Order: sequence, then C-alpha cells, then structure tokens
Amino acid sequence: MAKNPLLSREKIKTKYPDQWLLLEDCELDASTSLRKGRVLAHSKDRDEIHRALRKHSGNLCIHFTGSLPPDTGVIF
Amino acid sequence: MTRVIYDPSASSIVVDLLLEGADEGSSLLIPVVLDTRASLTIVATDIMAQLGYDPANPSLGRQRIITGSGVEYAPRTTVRSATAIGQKVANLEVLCHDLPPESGVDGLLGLSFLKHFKLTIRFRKGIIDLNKER
Repeated sequence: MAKNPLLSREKIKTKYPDQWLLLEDCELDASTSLRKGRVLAHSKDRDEIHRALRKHSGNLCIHFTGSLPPDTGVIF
Repeated sequence: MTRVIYDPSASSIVVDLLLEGADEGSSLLIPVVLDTRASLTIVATDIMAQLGYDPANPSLGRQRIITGSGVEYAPRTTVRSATAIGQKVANLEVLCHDLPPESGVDGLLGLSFLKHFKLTIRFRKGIIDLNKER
C-alpha cells in the first residue's frame, strides 16, 4: 500500500483540525519541534491514537492539532 | 541557543518531547506542557509501555504525587534519554501517569528535566530559551 504524503506541521493542522495524530518519518527542527510527518492515524479520540500506536514501531510522533477552549484554565 | 516560539495567548505552554525507547531504534515525540511546578517529568502510561518501559512492572518504585485533585501514587522509571527545546538529558526519571485527553497533551515537562538548564520564558512575546549554564 502506498504511504501517505509527507506533510508540513501547518498542512497537518489544516487537513486534520482538532485531532490527535500518529505520524511516522517525522522531521524535527533544532528545537525538537515537529516540522513534517507522514500520517498513520488520526482521530478526535486520544485513546484511539494510543491504540494505533501499539500496531507500529520505530521512530514515531504523536501530535495534537487542537487547542484548549479560550474559557478553559489549566491546573495540573 | 535553542528557542521555541509559542502562542502567548494560549492557556498553557505546549512543547514537543522526544523520548528514546528502552531498546535502541525506537523513539516517540509527544506533546507535553512545560510545567515548572511539576517536580518530575510525567508521561502517559500507554506511551511508556509502547517505548518498552513496562509501567505495570511491580518492581518499579512508586512515587507519591500531589496533584490539583489530591494525592496519588504513580510508577517511576528512567528513560534512556529525553530531548525538548533542543536540549537532551540522559537517564531522565519519569513518572508514568495519565492526564485527561482534554488537556491536549501526553505529559508534563517538569523540573527533573528543566533543572539541567537555564530557562528563560518571555511570556509577553511567547519565546522560550533553554540553554546550558556556563
């Protein structure tokens, strides 16, 4: 099966808004931030991506294209 | 100098953390919140299992952690290396603990990582610099 195309971080965000993604063949910049990757799986549900992770090995990347709602605070 | 630019209007600072697997040849990049209040770096249990660190191993030490919602205990292990904001730490202690999916992250980048460097955050401009101390 043909591989998905290598997409930039910006393209990934546009094509898969508010989703969790599992990527392979990831390129990082000097600050360890994702620059490009090839989408293996995408979902609104993080658990689905964690399950997809079990089917793959090697050098992978999990990425979330959403953001917290503006009226939501974060305390860990 | 290594620098990350982030959205200063965001409610938390999210960066990418690259974790090396227990066996050579595997790694995983995950989104984490930069959290200077967290003593240790925290990574989701599924992620640690995928990287071969076996968080369910009963021989692992368990760390008492105080969270916003109470006191919990989480397995503690050591990853071969962790890299974020262009800086790498070998043999980093990590807690295996899940954060809610709504957080949009798979962990926290805490002081166990950050203490090795000089960290500068320019909140108004959305700039993080992480450098080795001289």
